[in-house]
Amino acid sequence: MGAGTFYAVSDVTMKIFPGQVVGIVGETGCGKSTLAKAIPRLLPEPPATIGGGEIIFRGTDLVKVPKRQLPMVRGTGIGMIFQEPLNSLNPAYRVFDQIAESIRIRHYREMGWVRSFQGGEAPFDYSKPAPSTSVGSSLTKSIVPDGSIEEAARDRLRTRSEFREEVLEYLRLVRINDPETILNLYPHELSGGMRQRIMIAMALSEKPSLLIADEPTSALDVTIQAQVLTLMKELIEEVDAAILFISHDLGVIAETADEIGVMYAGRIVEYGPVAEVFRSPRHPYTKALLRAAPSKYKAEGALDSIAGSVPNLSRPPPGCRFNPRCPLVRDVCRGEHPPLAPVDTTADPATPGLHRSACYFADEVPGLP
Amino acid sequence: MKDVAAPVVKAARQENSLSVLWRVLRANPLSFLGFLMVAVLGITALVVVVAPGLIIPYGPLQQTMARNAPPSLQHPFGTDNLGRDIYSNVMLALPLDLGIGFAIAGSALIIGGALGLLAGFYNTPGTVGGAVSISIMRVTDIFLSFPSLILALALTRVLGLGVGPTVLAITITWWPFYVRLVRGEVLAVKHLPYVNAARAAGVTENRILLRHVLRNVLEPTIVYFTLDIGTVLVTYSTIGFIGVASKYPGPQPEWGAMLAFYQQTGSANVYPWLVIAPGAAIFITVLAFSLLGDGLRDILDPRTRRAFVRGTITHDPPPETPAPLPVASGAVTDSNPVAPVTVIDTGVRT
Repeated sequence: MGAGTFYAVSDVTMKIFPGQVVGIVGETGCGKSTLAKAIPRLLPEPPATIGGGEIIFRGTDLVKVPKRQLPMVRGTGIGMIFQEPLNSLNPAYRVFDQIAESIRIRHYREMGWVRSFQGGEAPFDYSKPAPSTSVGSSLTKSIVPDGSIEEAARDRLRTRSEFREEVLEYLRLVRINDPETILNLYPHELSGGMRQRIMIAMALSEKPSLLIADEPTSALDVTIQAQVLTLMKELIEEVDAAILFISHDLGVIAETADEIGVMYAGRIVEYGPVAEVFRSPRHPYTKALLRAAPSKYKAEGALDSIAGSVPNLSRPPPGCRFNPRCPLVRDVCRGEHPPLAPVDTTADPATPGLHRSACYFADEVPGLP
Repeated sequence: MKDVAAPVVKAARQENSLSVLWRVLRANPLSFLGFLMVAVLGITALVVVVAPGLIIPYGPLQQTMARNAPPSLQHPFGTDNLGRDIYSNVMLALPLDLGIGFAIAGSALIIGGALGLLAGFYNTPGTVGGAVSISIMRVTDIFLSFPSLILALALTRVLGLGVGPTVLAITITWWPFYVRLVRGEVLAVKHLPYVNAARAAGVTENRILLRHVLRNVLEPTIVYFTLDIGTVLVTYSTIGFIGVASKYPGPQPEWGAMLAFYQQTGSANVYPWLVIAPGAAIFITVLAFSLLGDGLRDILDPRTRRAFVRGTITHDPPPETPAPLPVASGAVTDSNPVAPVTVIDTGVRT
């Protein structure tokens, strides 16, 4: 670690299971997107490095996977939806070509024509084709009915019209009107919401086991945001993939996620079931964040804000990174960073110990204004 | 869910690329002129090569009785002091000069473009690619630090006189410009979100380079290439003017050499048509390729291409009421198609 190095994300631990949605919230610059890009190893390395830890995906530590093999994990294994729909589509290709490329990647891997990620103990055994019953392909099977593509077409190189049919299905899946027209358009002819739908269709068409949605609605204006969010919520119900949903919008996370992680300055400060975290937050930052959110019950007066600003990550404050802004701050907070420890809560006995907070005085948080 | 795309041009959608080309050209008369001029030049050059007798009345060295004759029906561009027909010589030089332009700019495009792609895309420090990238750029810088015309002249002296060595000499000085251009474009494109999005979709690095980066670098490069053909011609003519490239008068005339010969023998002062014709030929060719380059820019970029087409067709009016949601396949059929849109905006904006 040379001069000018800093840890954008540290000590983040979480588990995501198939069919589960984990939400991550936090302010701008708290390391949400870095976390999202670190999982499929999309950070530019160098300059970025993963200094330590493990990213276990279907039994394989992605940190140890050689760079050349990473494309095999991406797409069909870990799919991603980015926050810039305006620039995330190649301006030179029509919608058809963009989605067909994703379908083609998955198709070739399913057929075993190109080497693909298998998962498990011996992850990179390329000698045998992927079994059709693998987790990845069965997870999202329900969303595109099998009958539409001739059974015989599955075992050979598909024709353009067969690809076209499948592209149309995915366009319909993301609720696009008149997909036959949209198919032939260039990205610049589409609105932001449409482009984000195309991006979602591209990610889903690879049938990923883990889908990372990095602020999929942030760059859109509010009405389109709501539409795309409604779509995401419906798709989350239909798609059985594990989903990591990243947002700076508490409302979005509340509506979509099963579990929530609150990030501050590169660390997870509170983690737990969504309902529980929102009902009884156990970290002063979460509490302040919830207070700062606009609410229909508080129509008048100025919004609450959190005093101070996010620390510079190249010189983080000693100890708990929230201590300069914290109402509960005491001397111990300036020593070691508090561990993410289970909090004593009676709210949800079904998941004991799941609700965790990185605060020495978690028990005092409910007493805060 | 009613954000259907911007009004869609129904008529344009079914058109093939040829009719789109025609629309763009019609909307932009100067580009059209460029295309026309290049086409005429190309066809004429072809005729000169295949069937010179059709349009060239005299041999390059054939002397007629009319000496120093001004332009006439017999001799459209006049004759020189030995009665050689200027028109025939100018026409005979056309295929050579066009060929020189394409050969030099084309080889520079291929060599420099390939090196620029490599140097721009695989430039991670500390890797083999990074070392190769740095080597390519330093060699390029060395070549660029010489004035290219002087370097080409010096190389011509080493490589020998004649068309072939001169073409080689200019090519050697010409490719570094393409390395610079293409590398710069690659550096700009490779950090755009769609490249990372392709990476996230599982596209391999080599395929990203060939499919996503190259396609978006192509447009400015091709435009530069067409404009460059004119520049190459002028450079070649300059070297020809100094008199080391082609021999004139001779069996294979060349415009720069013609200019040089008549200027040096002093005839041009008295009989201006001797230099006006080859000079105008260079001028017209350079102009044609410049106009063509501008037109290509419009055609290669899907955004401007559509803009031109838009300008000629009326839009469909945007739908007043949201169209009914299409019944999606499989599990989505039972979702409520007219679900009211709830605006969720209770979040923190930072």
